[in-house]
Amino acid sequence: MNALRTSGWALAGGVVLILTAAAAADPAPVAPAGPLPPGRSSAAVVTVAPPAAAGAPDRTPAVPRPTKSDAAKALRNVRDLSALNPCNGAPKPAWCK
Amino acid sequence: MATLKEWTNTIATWTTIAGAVVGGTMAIYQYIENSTSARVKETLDYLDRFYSPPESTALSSIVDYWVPRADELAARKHAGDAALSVYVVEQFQTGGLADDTTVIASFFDRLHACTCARLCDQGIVKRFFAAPAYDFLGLAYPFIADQRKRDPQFGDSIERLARAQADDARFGQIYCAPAAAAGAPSP
Repeated sequence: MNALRTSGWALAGGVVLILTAAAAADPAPVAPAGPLPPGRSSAAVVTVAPPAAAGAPDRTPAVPRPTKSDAAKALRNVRDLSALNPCNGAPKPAWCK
Repeated sequence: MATLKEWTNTIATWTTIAGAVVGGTMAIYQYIENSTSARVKETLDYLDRFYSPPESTALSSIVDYWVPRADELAARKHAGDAALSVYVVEQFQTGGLADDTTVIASFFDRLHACTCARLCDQGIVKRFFAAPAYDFLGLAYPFIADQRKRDPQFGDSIERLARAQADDARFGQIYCAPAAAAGAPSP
């Protein structure tokens, strides 16, 4: 009887642990920032997308990949920006320190 | 017979406890793994955004404007901070680069919010965005400082990232510190 009670408590503990982990994965409701649209009396509750569940389809709209020329140009810009930066090489302006 | 029953009960109890612990641990592990992969994906999406319009075209406008002026920029740099500041502010204004600078500043504000809300991966942010932030701040700082007369927070996220990248150990602390703790803006 005693063992049955202990095993019941252990099972309940396990269920609570799993439910806690599941609750942590649930999205937290947040109010949208900024003024309300006309005609709305209260901010609609929106949710932050939770981490994708294993095997679940990704519901986040995909960010379009940059084209090859966009990416190449952006990488060139980053390199040119480094060459233009007055903080690279002496004397360094005060704002670099 | 009583002994066998006792043993069975004990084994059942410990099996249940072990099952509960393993199940719970697996659930937590799964959650952490999913969170990490979601953070990495989100950060890489930011990288794609940085390489795509309007961010890429804004940076392009700034760089394309400054490349032919690199010699003059170097000359002003050797003439002293005051001369360099005046020249940089003047060129950003006459070159019509204010909007482009705002686009870049806004991008870094969003990246900062994402990272400090732990929705983006700090390591990847440092790896891919710290150097461009440092270089952008180095070039545009006088103009950013000038814009702060109207908007004290202008370019704050770029400056935080640029300054945080110099200190590996305290990167997160510096980048995500509350505004008051981040220190006074540089001259």
